Amino acid sequence: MSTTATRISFLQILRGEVLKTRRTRGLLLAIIGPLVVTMLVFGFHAENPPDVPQEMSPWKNFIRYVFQFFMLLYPLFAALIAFMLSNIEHKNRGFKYIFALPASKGAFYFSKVFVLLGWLALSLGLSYVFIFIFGELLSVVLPNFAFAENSIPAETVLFLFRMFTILISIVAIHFFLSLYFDNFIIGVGSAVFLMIFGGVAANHRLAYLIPYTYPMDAYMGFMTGEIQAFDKRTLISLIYGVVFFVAGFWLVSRKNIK
Amino acid sequence: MDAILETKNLSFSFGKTPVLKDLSLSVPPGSVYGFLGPNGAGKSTTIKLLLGLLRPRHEEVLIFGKDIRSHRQAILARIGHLIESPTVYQHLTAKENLRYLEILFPGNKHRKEEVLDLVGLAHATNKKVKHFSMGMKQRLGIAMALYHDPDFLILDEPVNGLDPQGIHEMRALFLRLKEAGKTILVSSHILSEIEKVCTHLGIIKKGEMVFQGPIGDLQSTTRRTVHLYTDDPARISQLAEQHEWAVQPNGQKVSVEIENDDAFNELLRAVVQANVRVHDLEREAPSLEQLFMDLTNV
Repeated sequence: MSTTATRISFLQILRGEVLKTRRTRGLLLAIIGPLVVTMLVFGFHAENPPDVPQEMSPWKNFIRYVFQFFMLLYPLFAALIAFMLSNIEHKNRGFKYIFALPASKGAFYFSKVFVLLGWLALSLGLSYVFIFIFGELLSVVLPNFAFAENSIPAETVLFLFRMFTILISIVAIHFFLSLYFDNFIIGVGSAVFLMIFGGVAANHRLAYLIPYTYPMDAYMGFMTGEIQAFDKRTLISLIYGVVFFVAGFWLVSRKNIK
Repeated sequence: MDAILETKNLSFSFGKTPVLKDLSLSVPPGSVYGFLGPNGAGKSTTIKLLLGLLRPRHEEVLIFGKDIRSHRQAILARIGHLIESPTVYQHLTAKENLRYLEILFPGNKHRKEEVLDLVGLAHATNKKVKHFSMGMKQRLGIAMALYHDPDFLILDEPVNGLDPQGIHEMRALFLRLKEAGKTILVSSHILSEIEKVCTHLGIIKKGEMVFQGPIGDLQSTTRRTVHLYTDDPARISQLAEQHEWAVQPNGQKVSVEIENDDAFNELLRAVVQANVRVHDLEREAPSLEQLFMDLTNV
């Protein structure tokens, strides 16, 4: 007797996708990446305490070094995580299997998008926790730095939130590339190239159309204290995200599934 | 009873390259249907159309009497499948692979162990799949196809990578599933792997059906030679010529070429009625494997 009388809900599919990411390098990277960066900056501070510029709190001074790494590395993390998630199905020829299960193909695909964005949100959330922990540790190691008299600047959360909205576009582009090419070099190597391109094009009048210029823009906003939760770039990033995630679905559902 | 699966003149092309041409499959309920053809004949494309992975252009694929295009999810809920190489998540254990299905098809808490036991993988429950042999992965793929206790199983090359013992066990499993009332479509490019369990065959070549029916029909409708050892070869030659059968006398042996089982019965009847003594009789017919090779020109 068949046990499949009920329909498979999106939540069930999402739980299944989360199970598949168990013990994957992508999940590990999402956790280890920010931990390593924050730990390295902590080590650097503890070993060679930097000069804190006037008018800058020790917290902000510590965090700015962390965020310098983040603005360069998070787009690469995002590309890597996107490749690893798409590779779970590619490596195991999984799309033909899940798309022949009794639920809509869209539910399977977009549950992966949810997992992908969930990883990034988790990673950025953990970044905040790591910053807090290592900042507190610095206050013990370097009592003269007056960490205790200050608190984490409010723009820290804004920066991390902005990074999340920025990474939606970047992760969507690289998820699409990974699905299309199933090739590590193209999926992740292109992120390196595009980050360099973003750095070169940062001052161009059309730079606001290039998501790879956004992390630097967010960092500048953090430094000047003028960072906003939402602006024109947020909207453009979301448009990129929708376009490339939908294109990825079109790709996997239309091409001859392997 | 109506067929579990029926395709009506199913045609499909990739771009301008035709892959299937007017393919009419009919899988009776409770059968083990061997879907055979050489590599590149269109088996996998057909299976992808049956599972909704490719979309038929017209109402050409009916499963459980319903059109796959408009009832895809309801149909797939009653189908278990294994397409080409098995889809198993290699970084997970066998049990975790089935846990994925338990999330999708909740119910029986012991189902994971049941299906692993059924395919002979009870000993490897907590072993990561990346350490499995090809045969073990194939078994796990079949366990995953069986997990939700489907009425109809579509298995593409299910004995690929299995050793002779594994093939034997899979055949026994198919027979048990058939006895449990399941209908199974098994595709293969090697007849000998599955002929022992099939009740029906469909043989395709270059996207076209060249034979379909009960497995016995394949030989009963086949041209064969009958050698008769007799005291009166001239009389038997005369009878054969009357029926327009090719005949070759050779001493006491007369070889008659006939086209099917009906002709064979007619030959026997004619010999008995003519009261000719026959000492011995030999039947020289191609094996199923040879018939398959002839039909597909391999």
